[in-house]
Amino acid sequence: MNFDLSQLMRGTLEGCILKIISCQTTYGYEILKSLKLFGFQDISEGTIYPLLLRLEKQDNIVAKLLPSPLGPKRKYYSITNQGLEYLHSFEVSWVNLSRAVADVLGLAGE
Amino acid sequence: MTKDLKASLKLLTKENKKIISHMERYMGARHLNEVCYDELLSDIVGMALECQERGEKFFDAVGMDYELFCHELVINTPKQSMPEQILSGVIWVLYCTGLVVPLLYVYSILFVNFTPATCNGFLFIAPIAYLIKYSVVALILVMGRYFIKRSTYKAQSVVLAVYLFIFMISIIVVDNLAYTWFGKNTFEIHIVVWMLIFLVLSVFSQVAKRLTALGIAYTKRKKESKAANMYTQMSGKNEDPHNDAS
Repeated sequence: MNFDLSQLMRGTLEGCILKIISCQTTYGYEILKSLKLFGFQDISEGTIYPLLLRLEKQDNIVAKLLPSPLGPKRKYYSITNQGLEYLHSFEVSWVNLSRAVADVLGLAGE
Repeated sequence: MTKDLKASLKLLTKENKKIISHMERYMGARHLNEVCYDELLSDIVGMALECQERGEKFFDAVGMDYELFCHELVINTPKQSMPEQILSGVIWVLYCTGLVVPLLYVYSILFVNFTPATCNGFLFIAPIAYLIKYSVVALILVMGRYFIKRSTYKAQSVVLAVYLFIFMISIIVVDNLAYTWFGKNTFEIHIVVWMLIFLVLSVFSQVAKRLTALGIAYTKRKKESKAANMYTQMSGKNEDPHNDAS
């Protein structure tokens, strides 16, 4: 039985999306492209759009509607101060967690 | 629905239009703030149009489970406030009672021998129980539409069967209760006055609902704009995405 990667990704994607938004004001498809570039191959807009809405609801990001060359206005996201604090707390938690997981996984080699 | 959104919907392919109309049905019956719901729909339509432009399938962009996708969106979108919900309820009750009376009036003119109601010019005289019965029937029909919309991604034949069962039972219950409580008491209504009252109340409720929704969405936007400005000031970043937007 294969490991269910989606469960592992769910919690970490939010932090990664925030990190991308913290670098520049951007929109959904561009975030998706960046994530794919970093190796998140199995994700779609359907995965990240609800997360963007969630981050917006939590006031970690804000959206601004700007004209799009295609169809209706496009939402551009920027991080808020609260979002920066959330991102920092995610980064600390992730470093601790990944270190702990790496230590556990390294047990067999010792 | 805004003009922009209507225009964008026309640009969708038949397949994408079908997917979005299902999403619209599902989310439209979830008591979302009207303005935020329009924004959400506009985002989804925009997403579909961009997929079309890139030659990709919207189906692939959303992923396999539409219901889960819509559910995630619904839980992260502001809901209707209490005043909005009350006004929505008032609007539906108004539509049901408001339209049933003129319909029964026309029916009583066309089928004089098949109705307990009578009319004398514009004066409509009918047993109270009769009016209540058909108002409730109309309300159940409307609620049924709402119930079916909510179950867009469920087996529609089962949903329809459950709905028809509830509908039949409700008619029997209402039929008996209305006549037990109100007997043969009658109600006289001047149909033109009734229509005018209905029209004024409907317009008033619709406007009040829209204004309430706009008020809530405006408060949300103001809060967002404040948060964005604070961040821009503190970080000193240039927030104009047009420089690098594709």
